Amino acid sequence: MKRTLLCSLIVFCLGCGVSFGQDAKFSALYIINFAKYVGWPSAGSGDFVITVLGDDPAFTQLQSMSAESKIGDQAIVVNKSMNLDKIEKCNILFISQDKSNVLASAQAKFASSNVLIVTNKDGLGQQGAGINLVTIGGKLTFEINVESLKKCGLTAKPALFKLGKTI
Amino acid sequence: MRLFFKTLLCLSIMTVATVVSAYAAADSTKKIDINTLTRDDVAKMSNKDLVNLPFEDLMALADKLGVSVDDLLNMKVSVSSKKALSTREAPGIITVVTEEEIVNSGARDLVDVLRMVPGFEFGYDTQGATGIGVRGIWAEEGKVLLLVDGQEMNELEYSCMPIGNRFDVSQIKRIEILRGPGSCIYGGFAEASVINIITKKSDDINGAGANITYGQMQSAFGLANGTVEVGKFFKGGDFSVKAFGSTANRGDRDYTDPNTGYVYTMDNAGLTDALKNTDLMRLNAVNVNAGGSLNNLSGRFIYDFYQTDMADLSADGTAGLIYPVKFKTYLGEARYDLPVSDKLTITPKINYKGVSAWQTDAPSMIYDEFASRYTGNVLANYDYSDNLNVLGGFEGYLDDAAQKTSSYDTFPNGKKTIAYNNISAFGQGVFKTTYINFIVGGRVDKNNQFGWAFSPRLGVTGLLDKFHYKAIFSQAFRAPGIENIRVAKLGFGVDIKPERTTDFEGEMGYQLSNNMFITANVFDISIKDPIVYFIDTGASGGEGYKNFSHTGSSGFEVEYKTKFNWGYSSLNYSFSDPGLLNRNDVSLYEVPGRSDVMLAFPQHKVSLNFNYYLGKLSINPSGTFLSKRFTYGTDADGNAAFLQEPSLFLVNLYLRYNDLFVKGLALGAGVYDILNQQYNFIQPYQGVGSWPGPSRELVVRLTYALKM
Repeated sequence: MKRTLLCSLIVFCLGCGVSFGQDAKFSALYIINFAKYVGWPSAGSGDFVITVLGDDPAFTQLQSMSAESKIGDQAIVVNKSMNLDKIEKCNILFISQDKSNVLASAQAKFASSNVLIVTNKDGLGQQGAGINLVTIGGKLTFEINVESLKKCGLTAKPALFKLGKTI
Repeated sequence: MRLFFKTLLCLSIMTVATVVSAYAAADSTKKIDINTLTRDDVAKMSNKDLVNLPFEDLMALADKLGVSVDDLLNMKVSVSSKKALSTREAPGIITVVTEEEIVNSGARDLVDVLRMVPGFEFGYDTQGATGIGVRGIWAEEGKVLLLVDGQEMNELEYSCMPIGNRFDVSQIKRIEILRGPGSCIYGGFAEASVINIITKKSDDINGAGANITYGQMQSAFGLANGTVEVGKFFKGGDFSVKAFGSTANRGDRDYTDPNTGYVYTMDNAGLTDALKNTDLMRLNAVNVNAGGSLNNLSGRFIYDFYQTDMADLSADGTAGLIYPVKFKTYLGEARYDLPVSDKLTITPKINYKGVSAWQTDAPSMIYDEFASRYTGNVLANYDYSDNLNVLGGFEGYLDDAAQKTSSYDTFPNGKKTIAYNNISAFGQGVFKTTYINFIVGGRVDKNNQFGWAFSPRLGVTGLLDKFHYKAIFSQAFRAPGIENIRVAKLGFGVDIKPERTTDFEGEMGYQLSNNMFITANVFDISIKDPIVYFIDTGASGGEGYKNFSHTGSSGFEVEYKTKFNWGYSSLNYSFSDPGLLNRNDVSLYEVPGRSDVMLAFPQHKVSLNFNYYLGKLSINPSGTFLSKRFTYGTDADGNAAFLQEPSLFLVNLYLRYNDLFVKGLALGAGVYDILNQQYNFIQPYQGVGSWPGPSRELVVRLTYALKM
């Protein structure tokens, strides 16, 4: 009886997957697609690094997706940091909501480093994030700050402007 | 024969494996037609399927999926562990109230917000102050810790936390509520619950904002308040300043003092100017909260002023005056986040708290004392990996009280000043695996007055697809306040001990769909040596504190939440019963003949908060059902008696229109207690009975936020 119960428990556990949030999943998918729709001056060598600053459930999703996709020929590496000062090199910096107040510092730090800064809070597109994830009318979409992209030496493919809102 | 069966078994396994792998291969090459997918199909798609879809298809799928409860389920909270964990994994029974819920509900003050929380209700303390009860237990005095941006708001004399028109709810970004003990992290004020209010930061305000509110009850004005706030971030730092001023009435009905029989009428008939009931109901508040950071250094300053009024009558209740009772709190913090490595952060911080609480010139309760707490704290947080986090630290504080005026000449040391000190060490480990997380921690306190206190916690939590579970064992304590110690010692020669709590909690939750989830939890709280206020019925007639034998409560709570494109809803039910496991023997809390309920608190509570968006308009009905409560008062013949307050349906409706004329301008209007059920704040121990709360109240609020 005990063995049956144990086996049932194992089967039940194996049959279950860890629940991932849909919101976090699609945020992560958008971020990976930003990488595909942005022109990177120094693309092609080494890994493509996405760093998540702060605690955000999108980090786990990005990690899970990184093995399933590439940016051109570059493998995706996902890092996480709790402190802006400790981030050295990345291609995309995703700033979680709880770290949004370091946006200006991040802009200054990566001003000429071809780093795309992605945020996830209302109003931060206007404040200089390259791309800002927003939910409008219950739909996840994004704002593109063209000036910020230019300052970072990045360009966006025309298809991206059709999908997001330019500010 | 045996060989035959073995061969047959192997062949069968191979066949099944081949068929499954062929099916899987065929499935993976199958082209996905996004137009035919249902929401459930989208939710079931794997990352591999999704990550290689064209971006426009992904956005179409995201639209199809729409709003879900995920942001609620995956919201990171730190109230129960300091380490940010999702609400489903955190070691505690947790409620998060968001800015959206607060703003849309039209909540007038913290009482309205916390009434949405399972297990929370309110009672009347003394001298015009109202406080919180948790799971049927009176928690106002030293059992519930209220943090505002990490600052302890409890006063130092009695450890109380009066609320009611005290804090501006429009400044709140989020409230994380730990509905159980938190002493293993926070120490001696967090025995029953922790309320962690996080106000808007610089990036939330990102400019300036203002807010004015007016409320009108049936017989008196309800409240009038205003807020201004500014906040901005810049290279290397940020700042925010929020200021709030308010005046309000707790209630608008007549009040009869059960001790003197004196009746305060709202039309003030028969009262002298000095004894107006309209003054007796008054609550005034001023709050300034300023914070900022520069690189890794951050600081905060909070000034909080709160005033209630009390009557001071002659013994026959025919003469006297109404006196203000004032609470002034000054809080300051400086902290430095030292990133030793990307995995290790060490945060030293120093805090100052200066409090003058319950200050009054009322002759019978004259009191003026100033207490300070100087705290030093070092926290080390080490993220070894995503699955293993260890944190630990040390804290030491010095309490220093100076008496100006009191009914006692001195402190127990025979002087007009006294000091206590406390040192503590705490640690916690979080080990996460795929299906089970272990959280083990504890805190040791050594106080020069009351000695040692140990607060361990063992938690097991886990996620299994849409299902989650928690099992938590914890012990907590309530540190006696400066006045608890003095009144016990000088009043009756008692050396007061800290009260100690043992708490078992379990929770299960299930995500019913993308848009709804349900949680249910059970709890058992056993408090040993509870510190209880009493009035000597003997010759002395004096007041005192002493440790009774035990008290506590058991019960369960159920919470159901939904979130859709059109809005959201929250429905919860709470049940508590001190008699279920025979937890209470404090006679002053008892209702004679009813072991299943304690004074002032309902055994059953149901709360509903509903929201519907219609373009820029949000429609928000909400309501609370409270089962019958019991109060100590006077019967028709004027004799002291236990009275039953009927069940209540508090029904509210609030409408809010966003971006009225210009972006950022919002107008809200609503009615609280539509059915005019006339809630009373009941004293949870035998004393002054029921105090009138608000009647039906019309509320209008204008808000403007300017982003710069």
